[in-house]
Parts: sequence; structure tokens; C-alpha cells
Amino acid sequence: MTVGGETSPGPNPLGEFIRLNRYGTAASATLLALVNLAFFQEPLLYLIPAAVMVTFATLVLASKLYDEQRVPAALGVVAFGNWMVALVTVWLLPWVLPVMVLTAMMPIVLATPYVERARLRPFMLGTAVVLAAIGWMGIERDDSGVVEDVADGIELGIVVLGMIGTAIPIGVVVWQANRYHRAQTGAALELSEQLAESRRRLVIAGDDERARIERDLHDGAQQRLISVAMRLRMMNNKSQPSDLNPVISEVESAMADIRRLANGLAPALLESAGLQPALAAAARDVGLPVETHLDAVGRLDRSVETALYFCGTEAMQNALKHAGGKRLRLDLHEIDGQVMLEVSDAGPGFDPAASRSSNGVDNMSDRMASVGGTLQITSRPGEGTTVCASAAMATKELVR
Amino acid sequence: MTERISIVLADDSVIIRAGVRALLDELDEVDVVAECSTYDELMDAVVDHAPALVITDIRMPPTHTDEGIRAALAIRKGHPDTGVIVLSQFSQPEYALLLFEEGSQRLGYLLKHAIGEVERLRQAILAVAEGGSSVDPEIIDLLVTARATADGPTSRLTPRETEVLAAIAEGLNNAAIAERLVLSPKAVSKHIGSIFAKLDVGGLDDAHHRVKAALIYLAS
Repeated sequence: MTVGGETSPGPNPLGEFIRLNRYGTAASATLLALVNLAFFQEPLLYLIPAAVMVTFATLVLASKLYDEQRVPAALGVVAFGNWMVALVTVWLLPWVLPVMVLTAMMPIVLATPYVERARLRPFMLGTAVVLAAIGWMGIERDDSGVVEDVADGIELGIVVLGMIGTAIPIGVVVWQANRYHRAQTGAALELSEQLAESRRRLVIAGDDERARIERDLHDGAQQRLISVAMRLRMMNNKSQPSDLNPVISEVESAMADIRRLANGLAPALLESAGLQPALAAAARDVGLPVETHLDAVGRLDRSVETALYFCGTEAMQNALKHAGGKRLRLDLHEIDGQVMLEVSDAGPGFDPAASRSSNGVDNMSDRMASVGGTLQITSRPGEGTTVCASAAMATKELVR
Repeated sequence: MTERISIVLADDSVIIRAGVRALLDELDEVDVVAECSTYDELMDAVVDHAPALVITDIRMPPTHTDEGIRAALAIRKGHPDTGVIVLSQFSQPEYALLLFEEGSQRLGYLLKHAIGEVERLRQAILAVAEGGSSVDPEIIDLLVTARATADGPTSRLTPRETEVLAAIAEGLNNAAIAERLVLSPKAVSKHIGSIFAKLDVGGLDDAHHRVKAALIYLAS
């Protein structure tokens, strides 16, 4: 399976727009020169197609910059061209103001989806200055500008056509950007779902493997050692006085080691009796007094039980390590369909903002995330630490 | 000689079964009538032989989780005259509590490695076959130690009362407690009364539930 193959957002539409707009500007420069020739025959007005040709040049440059991935610079160059056209045109023909307002705004409309916030500031400032300038010119300058009075119909026709011609590319850009970003968001969503799913699978595969090793230990080494211990004790009954006692305690401590190892891999009590008894036993094994308040939450989905159990033991170990196990407390409750496990201590605490999360904490939050649950750590220097893990109860057969 | 105690033995590990069998052969009072290695075989053997006692492992086929405990609870319901001793390699009292869920008479919980002490095994077999119960003293020792650490010097029980409570948790009856602690039966009753008054533990006065009650207190 290829990740993102079907949902790829495709090429960025901005580059395409800049390329196409080169032809647009070249065509409109020609058109504007022809309009002048046909209606006004005013030499000064050839400044407008000239400005548009400068814009054409800026677009060629912008296209090059875009290909070099210098997107803000490319947009800056485009802005320069557009603003120049707007200023020149309104100076010469104030009544084209509505069209030029759109032209002056085009750069910021182009830039907003693609440029980060801090770098948008010059675009905002430039747009404001140019709009203010052309607005002022529209008010101050004689309405007809450098040409003698033009027929109303022609004025209206030019303004309407100009607005449509400017609004279409703006609309296309906004629409394309919207499509592009939605595709990107969709791809990101799908990716994060795949990630969560693969994390779940990894955790399950890990647990299955641990359960397998635990079973091998149980069926193999543990049974043999038990049988040896049994026989040694049996021989001990007969030989008196006995010198087997040291050997027996040696074998029994080896058994205890393997039992601890097996229990750490896959706690048998959790599998056969559930969360509450397993946590009670784990709290007793910490080696220091732990105040326990464990509700009988019944049996939950295996992956939820395992995740909460490992969070509980990990958090108790952490409390032991960092808080010296001072006033260690373990709570298990059911609240509003959520099963909640809380491990708290009255140790020195820490500043969560100032410390990087440890391996253990990452493991805990990964485990909780793999069952759709959450992990929250609250602490402040001098005020102890509370680790709270919770997951939905109604998650029977969440996985597989 | 009185009638021998008939025993069905269940464990999926051949070496453990052989070991337990060798131990049982040392005892004159018992007679192993069948050996099995799965839950289903065990339940069939109980029907076929109606044994006085079943000695069973916890993890057996088909699921390798808690077959022994489930078998004990089923036998207790369907064959109330058959006692069950569960052999375990887990020293956590939670398993014993699961086993004593509905009372502790004719039930026992022993640690596999410890039954090599034939005398301990013999006493447990006799106690369970006579309708009593038996919990491995090693488990009780662990609990009493953990409890003492947790309580610190604030323990509400006197050392003597703690000894009596531990003996109750082991499954001893009052006569056996008196014998072990070298007390008069009257003194034992007095101690039990005072434990009962001090602890908020229900069921200490109920012969069928006091083992569980004592275990719960020690394990909490």
C-alpha cells in the first residue's frame, strides 16, 4: 500500500497561476494598447500597457523564483508589478478605480494561503498603502483623468469588463487554494489515522510476543525449577540434619527471579483476574506502603487492561525513583463510562514545562494512545506528582 | 486402617505431575486414582471417580489461564463432597481470594515448590478432606510482613493477635491454633473476639468465610 498515493494534494496551484498569468498580462497589455488606439488616442495612456508589460516581466521573474522554491520572494515581485499598475492606472484614469482596487488586492489574496503569518506583514502594509493612495487619487483627481470626457457607456463597459477580468483570476486562485488545502488536510487526517492504527498493531504485536515468552518461561524453565525445588525439599525430609537448605534457597531465589521476569512480561493475574486484583498485587510488590483505593471495575478489553496496568506499575516505579515513594497512593475508579487510574505521591514534584518527557512517560502515553485513552501528568515543584491515565470502559474488542 | 483418601491429580506439565505423584506415593493415607492434563479431562475424572480430593494446577489447556480455579468452583457446586487443593506457582493471595470467592471449606491453596515438605502437604490434604481449608503458610508470611511494613508501629493488633489472624488465614481451626500457639482453646476464642472488635472485617466469626476475611484484611 502506498501512503498518500490516492490522496496526494497534487502540485501547488500557485506556480501554475503565476505561469498562466504571464499570458494573461501579455494579452491584456496588447488589448489595452488597442483600446487606447480605438477610443482615446492619448499618448500618455500608453503608460498603462507599458506598466502591464513591466508586470509581465515581474511574472517571468516570479516564475523563476517560484521554481527555486522562494515563494514569498516570488509573491513580492508579483505584488510590486500589480501595485505599480494600480497606481499608474488610477493616476491616469481615476474612474477605473474599482478595477484597480481588485488589482491592488490580488497579491495579498495570492499570498495568504502560502506565506507564513510573520512574512505576510509587508503584503498587508503594501496593500493598505496602495489602497489608500489610489483611494486618495480617486477623490482628488479630476474624474476623467488625462483624457477628455469619455462616453458613460464606454466608461461603464471598461470598468465592468475590467472587474470581471480581474475577479476571475482571483476567484480561481482562491478556489484552487481551498481545494489544495482540503486535499492536504484530508491526506494528513488519513495519515494520522494510519499512524494510530499502526501504533495499535505494534502494541498488540509487542504484547502477544511478551505473552509468548512468558508462556515459554512458564512451561519450560519455571516447571523444571519447581520440580527441582520439590525434589530437593523431598530429599530434605529424609536426610537429617539437612545440609540442603542453602541449595533450596538458592533454587527458590532463582525461581523468584524468573517469576518476577515472567510477571513483568505478561502478568498472569491480570489475564485471569483483571485490573483490580492485578494492581492490588502490584502495589504490594512495590516494597513500600501504597495506599490503595481500587474499585472492582470488572473485566475490560484486554488491551485496555494491559495499558492501564503498565501505566500503573510504571508510574509507581517512577514515584519510587523520584519521590522516594513518599505517601504513594493508587486509585482505580469508574467515572462516566471512563475507567481512571491515578498514581500520586507527595514527593518533590517537578515543573512539567521545564523538563523533557522521559522514556517511561512516552511509553505510558503511547500505550494509552494505542487504546484511544489519555495520560495526564500534573506536578509542581514542592507539590508532589499525579499521573492520571484514563480510557473508555465500553471498549470490549476494540482491536482485532 | 481407615479408608484411603482418593485423589485425582491434574497438571499439564509431565514433570510436575511426576513430582507430585512421587510425593503423594510417600503418604500412606492417600490413593491417586487418576491423572489428567486438561480442564475437560479433570471434570470427566471427577464424574467417573467421585474422588475425595482433587489436586490441580491453575494454568492448563485449553486457555492456559485459570482453569484450576474455574474447576475448583465448578466442583464445589456440582460435587460438594469433593475437596480441591489448587497448586500454584504464584504467591499472590489474589488467586486464593478468587478460589475462596464463595467460601473456603474443602478448598486449599498451596505453592508448588513448597509441597516437597511432605508434612505440609499431608496436613493440607487432611484438613481439606475433612471439610476445612488450607493456605500455604509462605503466602501468609509474605502478607504479614507486607502488612507490618504498611502499618509501621501503628498496627492495631498485638503481636499475639497477628499470629492468631495469620493462623486463621492459613486455614487452621481453633483447636489447631491453640495447639500451634500453645494456648488454651478459651484464650484462642478470646483473641479472635478481640481481633473481631478491633478490625472492621466482616465474617471473621463465620467458619466458612473467616479464611477469606483474614486474607482480605492481610492483603489490603
